[in-house]
Amino acid sequence: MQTITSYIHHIQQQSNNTQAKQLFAEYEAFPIPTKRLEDWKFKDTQDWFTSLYTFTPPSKITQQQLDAAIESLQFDALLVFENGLYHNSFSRPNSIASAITNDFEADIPHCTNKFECASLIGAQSGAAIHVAAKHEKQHVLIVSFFQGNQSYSLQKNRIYVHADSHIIITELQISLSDEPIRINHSVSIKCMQKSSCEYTSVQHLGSKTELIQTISCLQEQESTCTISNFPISGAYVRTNVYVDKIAPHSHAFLHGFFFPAAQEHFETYVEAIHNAPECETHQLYQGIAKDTGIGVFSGKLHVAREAQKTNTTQNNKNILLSKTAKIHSKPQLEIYADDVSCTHGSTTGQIDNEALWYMQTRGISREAATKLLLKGFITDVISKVSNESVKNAIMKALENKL
Amino acid sequence: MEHPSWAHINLPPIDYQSISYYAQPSDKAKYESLDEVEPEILETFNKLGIPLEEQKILAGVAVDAVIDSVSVHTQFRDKLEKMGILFCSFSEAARDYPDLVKKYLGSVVPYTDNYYAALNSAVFSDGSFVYIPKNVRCPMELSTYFRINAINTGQFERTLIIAEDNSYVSYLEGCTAPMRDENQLHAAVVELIALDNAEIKYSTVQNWYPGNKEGKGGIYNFVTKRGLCKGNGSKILWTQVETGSAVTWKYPSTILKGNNSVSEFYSVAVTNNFQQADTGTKMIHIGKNTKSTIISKGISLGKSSNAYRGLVRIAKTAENARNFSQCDSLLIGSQCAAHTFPYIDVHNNTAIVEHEATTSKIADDQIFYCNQRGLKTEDAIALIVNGFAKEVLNKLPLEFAMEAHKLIAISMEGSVG
Repeated sequence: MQTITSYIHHIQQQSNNTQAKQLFAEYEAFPIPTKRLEDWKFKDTQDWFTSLYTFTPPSKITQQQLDAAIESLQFDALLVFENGLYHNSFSRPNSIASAITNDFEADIPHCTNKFECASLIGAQSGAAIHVAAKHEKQHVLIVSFFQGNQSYSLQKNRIYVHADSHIIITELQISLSDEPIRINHSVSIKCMQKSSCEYTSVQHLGSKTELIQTISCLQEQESTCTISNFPISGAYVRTNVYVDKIAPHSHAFLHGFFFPAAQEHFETYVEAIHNAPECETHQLYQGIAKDTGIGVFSGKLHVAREAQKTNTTQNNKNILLSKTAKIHSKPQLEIYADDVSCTHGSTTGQIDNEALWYMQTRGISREAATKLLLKGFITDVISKVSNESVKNAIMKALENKL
Repeated sequence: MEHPSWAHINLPPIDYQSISYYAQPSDKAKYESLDEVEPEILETFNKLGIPLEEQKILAGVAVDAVIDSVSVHTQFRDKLEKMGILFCSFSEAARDYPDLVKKYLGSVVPYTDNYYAALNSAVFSDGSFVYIPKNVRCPMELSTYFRINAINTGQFERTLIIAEDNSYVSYLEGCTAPMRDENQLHAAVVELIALDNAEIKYSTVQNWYPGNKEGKGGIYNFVTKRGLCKGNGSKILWTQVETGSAVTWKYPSTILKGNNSVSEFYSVAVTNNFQQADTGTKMIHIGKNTKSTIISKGISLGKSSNAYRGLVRIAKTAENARNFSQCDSLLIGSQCAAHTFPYIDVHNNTAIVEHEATTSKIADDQIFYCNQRGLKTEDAIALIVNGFAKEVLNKLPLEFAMEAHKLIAISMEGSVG
């Protein structure tokens, strides 16, 4: 048992890699997030740094557990991880998808937060997806399992999509027990010219499992990147999405649906940075909160002076189903260029009583009508996922929650 | 307390030791006659259509005690006193009505509220005090404009307005004329209290010295303004036109405590050259069936930066609360910046909260259309901008609205070409 800082300090001392040393310096430079910091004010994450954890506990998963998790899903390659370590016997890698072998790569991007630094240094493994130029579209499924009392897992996925190629990636994060588990995960995506990447992240976590993940994407000219996140269950799930556009005509579609119930607390922080002209970003985040669930959405759009002719939309719609649920929404725009069209909208409310009444007059019970309306609300976001089997699985999981 | 750093503005550290915390309002005139006043200022006065006598007062020219505006002022005061309305400077209020001051001062903005509120509470020397008794509708727009002696109340001003049950008051602050004040830092505090079914309308037009074209000098305007809808069915309306100051940092807010209370916020902020503005509002819904509306229009020109920062909080107790916010930004020129930072916290499932914002520039075809009809590009832009801000300007009292239209046109001068 040790703290995360001592764990990664040990790793960076052992490796003679300058990259690790540099990352550790970056890690040290970030302050420990406290509730006093604007971006971390809704949840105290101090104990991620102060408590003692077991890192990479031994493997325990069985074939049945894996089969249950991937039951109806279709895929071209499968990568299985447990507590951040690659599971050779269960995985079905192919020419483009395998596990990270060499520890540090030459072009690790700059970290955006302390958690990302920690996972980049401390993670032993993760998915390495390298799509060669003009490769046809495939669906890669990553399944990550977590278990172990007071365990702390680190994982990093690295995705590199060459010019003119396309990829769809779905990641399932599943905790197998109700013990306190911490997961720190980072994903870095690089999209080259005219490539496209769709990344969907789904969490099925236990009632004491907390997860913080950072998905960052660097976009080259005319690339398209779609990032969706669907926290289905878990004590605390925070997804940070960073999209950085460095060349013109790159487009991003960012979606997410959060449905905190009981004591759950789901957060999504999005930052889209436009550094090149004629790019588009379209964000759609929706949420339903019930019981004492807390949902947080913070979206930031940064348009640099050079990024003229930028076109962006940002939509956040929320529904509160109980008096004790909370929604915090903060859609932000930061614009330094004048020839742009940027809009954002945020609404928080409840189910339309008139629509309910309309359905009741047509013989649908109030309960069924409510479900129908909420289902329609969820479908808005889910329909953005292109793989049918993934789409149906997420829909089913969210419907169960209703 | 530490100096807050969250605002989206850049400013050099302020030397709090070098500020003079009390300046006796000087009786001595700055100029002997209007001829000595800088022609640039007089030109602006003329463009705004300010009467000659008022021009003298505003520019600080020695004024004979019997001129019209002073007698008008006393005449008004008599009329107000007959109705029981108290409208005086803060020092008079503290002397004559200590009970009211003791009861309400600091009840909306406590001295612990923020850095500048603490500074103001510690050092403020004067300001305005308004008290409207029960069932009284104030027949005229109360304004600091009439109270000549209050013009130089200094940089730490305090305003307290109390509206008793079923009363109404409209209060105007500032004026359209450019104020060449020497003070670098203004940290004022404004407190409004509306009791049952009372209505307070608070309008601000601010045109303090924004610094020169290179961004040197100019006033820092750090104001804490907050209203409390204490009674049921009370209403507070904020209207502001911000064109001056080098740095503006103000968030007129309302705490909707009484059931069925209503608050509206209308703002136009124009920034030019090197001006920076971080402004917006806070609407805190506590009572049942409370409603708030936020309309904010930001116009950035030159190398300025204009940010909207607003909070809408629906507390657990605020059943059926309703909020609508709209924040539009207009960018003119490629060097300026516009930002929107709305915070929406909803803790009640019966509330409906909506927020929308757009950022864009003036479409070329609109300008072309105006050009085609013989308008110069500069006039066309002024026309379009006035149309953009119309929704807010219409909320101003009539004579103010006229001047505000001209003021926006003047603030934009020389930036388009």
